[in-house]
Parts: sequence; C-alpha cells; structure tokens
Amino acid sequence: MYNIMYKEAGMKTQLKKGLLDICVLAALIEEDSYGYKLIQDTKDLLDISESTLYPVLRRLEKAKYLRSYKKEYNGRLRKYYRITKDGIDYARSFSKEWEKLFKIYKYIEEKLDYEQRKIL
Amino acid sequence: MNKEKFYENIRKKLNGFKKEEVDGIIEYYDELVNDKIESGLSEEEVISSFGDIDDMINEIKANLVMERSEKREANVLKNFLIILGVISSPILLPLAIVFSLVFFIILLVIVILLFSFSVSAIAVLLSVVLASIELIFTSREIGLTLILLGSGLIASSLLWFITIEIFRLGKYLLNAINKLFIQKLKKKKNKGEMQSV
Repeated sequence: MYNIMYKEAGMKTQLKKGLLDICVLAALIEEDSYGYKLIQDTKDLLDISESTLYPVLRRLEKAKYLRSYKKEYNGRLRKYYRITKDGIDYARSFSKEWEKLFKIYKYIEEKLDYEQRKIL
Repeated sequence: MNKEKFYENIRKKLNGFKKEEVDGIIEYYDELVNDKIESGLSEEEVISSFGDIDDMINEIKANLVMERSEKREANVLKNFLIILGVISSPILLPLAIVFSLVFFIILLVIVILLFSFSVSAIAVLLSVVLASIELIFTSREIGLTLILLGSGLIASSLLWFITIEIFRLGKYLLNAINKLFIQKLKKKKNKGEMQSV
C-alpha cells in the first residue's frame, strides 16, 4: 500500500530522472565525452545543472551503462565517459518504448481533436 | 572566492560524509572549474556560476543521501539527520515537522514491535526449556519432553524470524520515507524546472 503511494508521488520525478539518464547516454553514443561538454551538449534539451549531472553519471556508471577513464588534457587529468554495450542496449529499448508511447500520444491527440470539433 | 577557498568550503560543509564521497565531488567540480576557465571565464565568474553555495551543498547532500538510500547498508537514522539538516531553513519548516513526525511515529511502531516480538521469542524459549527440565525430572517421559522442547524451539525461532523480518521491513520503510522527502524537498526547491530531479 505504502509502496504504491510512494511510487505515485515519485512518478513525475522518476520520469524526469529517466529522461536525464537517456539524454546523457545518447550524448555519449557518437563519441566519449566529459562533464562540461555533456552539460553543453544537452543544455538545449534539459537545462541540466552541474550538481544534477553528477549523480546521473554516478548512477549510470553503477548500472554499467557507461564507464569512465581519465585522460590527460592540458596538463591535467580529465574524466571521460564511454557508453557500454549495455548502455546502447538500454538506449535502444528506451527508444522502442517511446515509439509505443508516441502512438498513444497521437491517439489522445486525435480524440482531443474530435472533442474540439464537436464543441465548435 | 578563488577555487581553493571554494573547495575548502565544500569540504567543510560536507563534514561527516565519507572521504571518497567528498573527494568525488571535489574532483568533479575541479574539472568543471578548469574547463569553464579555459572556455574564457574568470575564476570568480566560474565560482559564482554555481549559484548560492548553500543551495548547491544542499542539493549535493540530498543526492548523496539518495544514492546511499539505494544501497542496502544505508544508515537510515544518519540519512534522516542529514535530510533534516537540509530542510532546516524556515520556509521548509512545515515539511521538516511532517517529515520528523512521520519518521518518528514509524520508528516508534517498529521499535515497539521489535521489542515485543524479541521478548516473546526469549520468553517462549526460556519457559519451554524450564518446563522440559521439570517434565523430565518429574515424569521421566523422554518422548513427551522432546515434543515439548521441539515445538517450543519451532515457536521461538518463528518469533525470531518475524522479528528479523520486521527489522528489514522497518528499514525499508524508513528508507522509502527518506527518499520520498528528498523528492518532495527537491520539488519545493526548484518548482517546475527540469533540473528538479
């Protein structure tokens, strides 16, 4: 019972959390990247703050969707992130899931459209 | 504020967290600071681009507690205190009160349940052993004594099992409450923004 309440209260944040994860993963598909660049690359989509990105990266690394390594850059070490096979699989399944959701969205839109025409 | 001062500040405000947790945060911010400086900002500008340091620290704390809560070995009481510290600003006082009340009522129920079940488990065990000793001396019926002893042991271990399960369930519940309130807290802090995750 409590579990259900908990889940409902957290659903919206859960969804946002999922979107953050997937956007960061997607940003890593083409090439390895690092903190600052990830924020720049996903800024238009998410308006992600520095303190938000950190736990996302930790979470994804723990889930083995990405792994990190350090590389020298400009005389200092920078932490780079590389997406794993699991990460790509996850992104793929996410995108499949959204195809279904998109169909539902279109269905809802269609019905709402009908409702609109009825009023007019 | 220069960056050394900034890191020192973070360290000071994250006092009580594990060294590896704090080091990870500092390393992350140091890289960002350097990258931002190289993109053309001054050290001052970079530090102020992170916004109010207390807000930043509160978000870091909430995220760390969230991460800890996902782990099984999470210390729910310590996490509770950290969250309470984060909520302690006057605007969030009602939230802090509700949070404390919910947390302590559930904690109290769990403690009472744990106490009564463990006491009865011990009581059953003790009485059954004493009764068996008495029975074997008075009647010398070994079969009957063994049955009594056996059923007593089963009853007692069942009670222990329930006690342990209550403990685990209780920990799970308190953990869930901690997580729930972190989410509530974040929602309150930056309403409507995408970053309120």
